[in-house]
Formats: sequence, C-alpha cells, structure tokens
Amino acid sequence: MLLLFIRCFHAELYKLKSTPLRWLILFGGILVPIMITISFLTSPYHNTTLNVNPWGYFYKLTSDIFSVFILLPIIVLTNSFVVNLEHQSDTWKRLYSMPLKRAYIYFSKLAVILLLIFTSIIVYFLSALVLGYFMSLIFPEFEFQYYFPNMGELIPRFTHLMIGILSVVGLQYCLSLHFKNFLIPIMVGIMGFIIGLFIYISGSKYGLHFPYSQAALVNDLDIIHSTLNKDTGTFFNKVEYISIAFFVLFVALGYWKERQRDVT
Amino acid sequence: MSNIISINELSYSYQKGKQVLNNLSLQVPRGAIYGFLGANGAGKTTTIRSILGLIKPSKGNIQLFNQAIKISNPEILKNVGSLIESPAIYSHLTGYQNLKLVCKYLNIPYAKITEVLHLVNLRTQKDKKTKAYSTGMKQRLGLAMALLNDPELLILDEPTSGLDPTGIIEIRNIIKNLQNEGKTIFLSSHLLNEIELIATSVGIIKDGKMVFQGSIQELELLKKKNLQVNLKVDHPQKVIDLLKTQFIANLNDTDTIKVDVQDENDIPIIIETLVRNKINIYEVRLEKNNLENLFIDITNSDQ
Repeated sequence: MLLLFIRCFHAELYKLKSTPLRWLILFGGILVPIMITISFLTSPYHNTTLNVNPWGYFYKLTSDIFSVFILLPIIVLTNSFVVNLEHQSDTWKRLYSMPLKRAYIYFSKLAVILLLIFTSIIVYFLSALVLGYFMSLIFPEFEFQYYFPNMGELIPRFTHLMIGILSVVGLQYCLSLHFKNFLIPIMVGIMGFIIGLFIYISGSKYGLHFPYSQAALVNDLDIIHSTLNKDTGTFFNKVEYISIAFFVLFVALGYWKERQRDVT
Repeated sequence: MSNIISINELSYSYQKGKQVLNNLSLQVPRGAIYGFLGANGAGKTTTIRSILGLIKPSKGNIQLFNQAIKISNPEILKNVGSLIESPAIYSHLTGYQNLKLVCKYLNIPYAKITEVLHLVNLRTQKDKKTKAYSTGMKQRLGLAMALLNDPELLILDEPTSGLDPTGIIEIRNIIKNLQNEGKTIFLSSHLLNEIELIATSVGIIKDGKMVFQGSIQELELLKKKNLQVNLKVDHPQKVIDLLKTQFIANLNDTDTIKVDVQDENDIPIIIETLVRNKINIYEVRLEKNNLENLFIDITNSDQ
C-alpha cells in the first residue's frame, strides 16, 4: 500500500517537470527576503542594533510578510496548477482507468501540493539566510556574521505556519478538484485572501475560524491579536487545532466527492 | 468461446430524464476484434466509460474477465489498455516522458517504452514535446500508452478519428497485428466500412440500445436479407391479390405497393408474375432493410 502511494507520488511529481510551478515556488520563496534585503541596504543604520542577534528581527519581519502576502497566493496557485493540469489535458479518464484506487491519486496529489508549499518555505528560509550573510559583506554593522539564526525559535515558527495553512490547502484542493474552470478556485482564493486580511487586521474573532486568516494568526500569539489565538498549553495553539480540523474536513469531503464523481 | 466483456441490461442517465444507455447488453468474445458501431451520441463512449469504471451505471452490471467492475475494485483493469476519444496526454511533456509517467504509476520497466514506441512507429519523435505532435502522432502515442502494460483487452474509442488515410491504415494494421498476438480488441467507431474491414464481431448501438449483435458474417447475411420492394403499377389492388400467396404486400399512401421479400432473388419472381398477368409496371424500387437504413444513418452522421 505504501509502495503504491510512493509510486503515485513520484509520478505526480514527475508530471510537474518542465512546468512554471517550480519558478513560482522559487520566486515565491525568495521574493520577500530580497525585498527586505533591499530595504535594509537602502537604510542600513535604521535597521542596525549593535550587540543583538539580527537574525531574529530579520526572520520575524520577513516571515510575517511571507506568510500573509506570499504563502497564501502560492497555496492558491499551486493547488489550481496541479489539479488543473488534469482538467486541461483531459487526463482524469486515463488516471481513473488505471488499476489504481482513486485514493492513491487523490492523496498523492495532495502530498505533492504540500511538499511544494513546504519547499517554498524552505526556499524562503534558505534565501533569507544567504541574503543575511550577503548583507553582512556590504555592511558588517548588521552583525549577521557574528550570530546564527535561533533554530530553536525558527523551527517551531515554521512548523506552526505549516499547520496554520493546512485549512486553506484543504479548501483550495477541494475547490480545484470540483471546478474545471481554474479561474473559479483562484478567484475564491483571492477573495478569501482579501477578506482574511481584513478580518486579521480588524482583530475579529471570526478570524480563528476563517481559513484565510489562520496563516497570519498562527504565529501571532504575542502581538496584536494575542487574545484571539490562545496558547493551549500544548505544542499546538488554538488556531492550529482549528486548521487541522478544517483540513481533515475538506480533505474528507473532497475525497468523498472524488470517489463518487463520474468522469464524463 | 468465453466472453471477456459481458454487459447486462446497462442503463445510464447523465441528467434526470435523459437516458444515454437503455438496457444495453453486449458480449465480447475472447480474442475477437469487436466493432462497436453507432452514430455520434448513440452511447458508445458512455458504454466504454462504464466498462472502465469511470462512470457508475444507474442499472445493470458489467463483468470483465468474469469479475464485476466497481470503482472500489480497479485491480480488474490491470489487464486492460484503453484509449478513450482524444488521447489523454500532457502537452508540456515529451512523448517519452508521457510513457514514462504511465510506467511510474503502474510499475512497468522503462524498457517497455522502446518496445511500444517501435510498435506505433514513434521512435524518432519520442523526444519532441507532445504539443508539437500531429493528431495522428497523438493517437499513436495514446495507443502506445494503452499498450504499455501488455493488456489482454484493448479498448479503443474512435482510434482513427481525425486521422488521414495513411494514419487510418497504420492504426488498422497495428490493431490487426495485436489481434494476431492474441489480444481482444474492443473498437468503437461510427464508420461502418472501418468496422467491416477489421472486426470479427459487431455490435450496433442506437439511442443507447443495442440493435444488432453478432459475427461479421451474420451482419453480411442480414444486409442481404429482409428487403422491401416498392412497386408502382396500374392496378394496385389486383397486384396485392396476385402476390399475397407468396409475399406480404401492402398498399401505402402514395399508391405504391410495399412488398416484403427474403432476398434479391424474389424480385424477378415478382416481376415475372406481374408481366404474366399483364400488369403495367411503372416503377420497381428496392428499399434497404432497417439495418441498412441504420448504417446509412450512421454513415451520414459523419458527413
């Protein structure tokens, strides 16, 4: 069973060869670190505090922007692209007439989407690291070269982020499968992104239950909306539990629909 | 001879009230080239999709290799290769990559790719992106994908659609060779001559119903039998009385007489009878039988 899943996963990954998706993941990951680096370099003394590890501030600044403004569009586009490849090529009939259960195709596609999103986070992390050291070559006063990012802080941060976005991944996957016209899930994603941003900024309690706000809220325990996202005393905070619940719900619903679907 | 596909009273509706398949039954003998003939929209592709488990029929059952086909049991399809309508290929990948993808899904050794590329004569074009392929090349690639798992049963839905005469002949030869290798081929088409040239068994579908099923010899025999002769004469009632002992003759609205005959040999007997009884004959017209009319409908739908 696991071998079958791995085979399907490899095939799904291979299918994305020579597609623009890899560029989306790459540029999506490095965009914010590049922008913040330019901002640091254009006003270096404004962003310098001597004898303090600069990585914390640099990663906090870039990850806040990345998780709200970049990661959500990446999720929407990745889901639409991966699924629309089948709609556009009319290849569902081939996939589902192979001697494979639909579950293997469904979950291997989802796994590929999650891997690509995770890759964009890794690209972001690594590009921020490289650019931090690059800045220290030009302005040693930044002191990036004297410290190393606090991984004990960053790894949980990115883990929370990955869990916080699960609900949106599940929802967008479900929508992309349902609508043959790829513009519909993209439009829903854009609308969700805008509404989610407003809900997050307004501090509304609905943000907790709105998938498109959860990516912003998940690492916001100590900032403006700390009253919303309660620390549960476990590794996961409240938003993450809700995000996981939504993810399970959307994925189960999507699978149920996909299993029933007539490929006409 | 055992049946490789057996369908019993299959019904399917796309929308409420719109019946696409209506109690359709068919049997495909092992080792046959089964020509599945029908006009566009007759229900051929829906039947094929049902066989492959892509759609769930509202009624009836389908057996492949004597096992019921279900979405939850796709393992039955491991000995089936299929090409449904236009080939399902990824245009951003090369022909070789498309085949490699199928190998990855089905755990087929990559060496098999060279073999099928050779079979469909696509070796020199394998590294070209499929978006640059012609319709014929795409059809051949689709066929190669269907052959990768060395299937016992090959289901081909309009495989010559959109091909030029050379392409049609090429595909036809490939299909014949595959049958010689012992494979069973289920071939759908809306072209009677295409099916007549290649098939050993035939099924004809019209409006979701099976109107004929049998061997190609039975089909040929049927075409020659059960004809209808239309006569225009000066004394129609007298003619009906003269012919009624041997034939079924009726006067229709346009004052012509319709006579049902078994085959073409009956026509001179009728004429001789009328001449002997001094009936003036103005017109003798042979009407094709129902099956033949159906063929004409099918052939005309392509034009």
